[in-house]
Amino acid sequence: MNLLKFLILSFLGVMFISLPAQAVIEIDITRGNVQPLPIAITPLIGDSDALTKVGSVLQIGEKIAQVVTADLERSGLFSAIDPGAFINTDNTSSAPQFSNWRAVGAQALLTGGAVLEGDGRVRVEFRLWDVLAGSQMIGLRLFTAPSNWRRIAHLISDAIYKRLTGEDGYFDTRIVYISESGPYLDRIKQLAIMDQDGYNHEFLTDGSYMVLNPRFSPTSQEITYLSYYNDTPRVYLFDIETGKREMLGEFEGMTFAPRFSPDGKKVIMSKAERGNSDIFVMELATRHVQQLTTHSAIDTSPSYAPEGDYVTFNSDRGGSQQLYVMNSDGNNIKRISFGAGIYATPVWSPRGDLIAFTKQTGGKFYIGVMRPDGTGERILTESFFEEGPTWSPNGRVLMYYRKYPYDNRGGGGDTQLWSVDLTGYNERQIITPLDGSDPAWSPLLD
Amino acid sequence: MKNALTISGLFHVVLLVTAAMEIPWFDSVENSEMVIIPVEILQFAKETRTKEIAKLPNIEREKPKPPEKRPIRQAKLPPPPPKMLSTMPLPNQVQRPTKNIKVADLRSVAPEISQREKPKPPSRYNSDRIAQLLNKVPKKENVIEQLSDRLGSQDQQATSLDVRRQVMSISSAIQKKIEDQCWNPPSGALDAGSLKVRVKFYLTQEGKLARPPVADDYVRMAGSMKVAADSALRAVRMCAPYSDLKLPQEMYDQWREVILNFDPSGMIG
Repeated sequence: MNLLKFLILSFLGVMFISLPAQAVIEIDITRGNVQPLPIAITPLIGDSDALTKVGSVLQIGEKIAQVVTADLERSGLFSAIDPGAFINTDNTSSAPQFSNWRAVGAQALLTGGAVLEGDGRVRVEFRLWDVLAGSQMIGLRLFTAPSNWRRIAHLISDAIYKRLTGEDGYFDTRIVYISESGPYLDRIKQLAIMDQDGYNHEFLTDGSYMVLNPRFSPTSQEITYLSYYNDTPRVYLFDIETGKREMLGEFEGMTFAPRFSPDGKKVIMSKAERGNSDIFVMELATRHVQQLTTHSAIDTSPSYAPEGDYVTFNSDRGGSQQLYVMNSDGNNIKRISFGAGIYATPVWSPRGDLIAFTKQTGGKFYIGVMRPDGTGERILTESFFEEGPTWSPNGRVLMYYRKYPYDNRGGGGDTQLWSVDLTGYNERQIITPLDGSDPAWSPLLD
Repeated sequence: MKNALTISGLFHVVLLVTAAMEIPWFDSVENSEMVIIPVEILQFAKETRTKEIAKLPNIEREKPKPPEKRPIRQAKLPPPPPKMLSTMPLPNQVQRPTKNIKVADLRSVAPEISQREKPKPPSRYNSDRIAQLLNKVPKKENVIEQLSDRLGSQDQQATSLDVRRQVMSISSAIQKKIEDQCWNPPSGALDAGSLKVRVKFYLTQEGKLARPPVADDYVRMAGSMKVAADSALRAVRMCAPYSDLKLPQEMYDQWREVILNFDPSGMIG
């Protein structure tokens, strides 16, 4: 037996010895510089004589490139190279001169063109290139009515974002929010909707009654909101496509802070009765209502985890207002926030990894995130007053609103919409026609 | 059956020894740091050495040859430290060839192996010197033992340390360039911190990429993993050429092939 073992090992030994080894340097790379990826976006080429209601195809191509540039830059993950630096903008050939693009520092390149089809639609084709490797990363063709060119631009941005970051994009999305105007003692609040970049703005209510807390369905173009129509606060459901509006049943007392379940089939909200507030959930199909919390403290602002198995909410049951997580049936309630100050408006990220919140401490307001178990609290922004974070559908960006101090003459109190990404470094204002508050981000459009 | 096995065993051992000593690849292999496993074979060889001795003379005569070929390459490499020379002029002790053979042979596998581990010329010099000594100066067996001990340990270690040091400085130069100037890890993905990528590339003697860098398993990658691999490949391309690092030409064999393990876990939680 030993002999046999010996022979086998000898044989293996010979095998090992006979393999020529090579000198290889193996190095661990553990640091890098996270910085925006330089991308060159060329105007989509098109025929200047092919006219549509919104301009020539050439103009549409140029505008699409501008919107894509703005989208990608706003994400903070890309830096668009100034077209003035381009050595050669001719993108008619199928393979670009990569050396020209390398020379201007581009690592990615977008080329493409637009053509007017016989049926009046515009056909847009584009390619994303890896400049250093000299290879194509994406090639897509899209058709649309010329007036819809902005969506095409956002779809292109989403495709680029996804290919270069590995995450879904969030550019082909909309925001509903409360548009505000008038003196702060007699504020007019209207429901409004716009693209995520502030364009295609529309008012959905006329301002004759107050609206609050708009929230998007995660699965369809529906929103819930709280309306004081007929001077009674009620939760309503509104279909953006059809304009149909319905009240989600009559409740005793006040219902507020409505929010959809991840499958869009339920609405979770809080209801106040005799000075107490608890959390309820309603099946939209059956209108069946279930009470989830029964506590003498104020429980409000519920938000589902993306799998629908947990709910986060805030409550002052521990003395001060803090964040809690419970099973979606109301059991197993656990406090997750323990920092100094007051925590409010918890919102579970669509990708499940974080809960965003508003925090108030030391006379200031903060927007922050923490893990669902309460660890890893990070503050992203701070100001005099800000609250109401809402997640982009990819869970990378938060939008919220900021209010500015009142002045001595009864002015001030302006509100603005802002966004920040999870790094906390890319804060940007979303320009709205009037003041804006309480934004809610839609899922990606169909 | 037993006899047959024994005979077969012996043949294998012979094969092992001849292979170990004569396969010309060893010349080029010697710089590698990778061949550590064969050391174990040594121990097995010892078990059967008594039986082998009878056959060894043949092997032994051939053995000095390969060392003579080697110096050609080694000429480029740093000269052996003076210590060696001082130990060379050895006492006039008569050396019995068989013993020499034995010693040399017992080590014949060993030094070669250790030479392979320790990338360098010293080992070659050792065998050269030993060969010279064997030819010219009759010596005592223990002297040779001493000699080879010394050569095999101190000097060889010294120079192999030098090589290692140089390899380390080459590694850190490449690492620094990639980390400081070229790697832009994708930070967006949920699992960004766990996306580890292994990239292999070959350099020309001028420090250019000899062919496009390759990431392990790239074809099967998708989503954020592919994005991570792309960022690693971009880093390698961005940093090319590596001529500014002034990598030592005489060590080209050492840096011709480079593997980079990109691991963002320390910077992206």
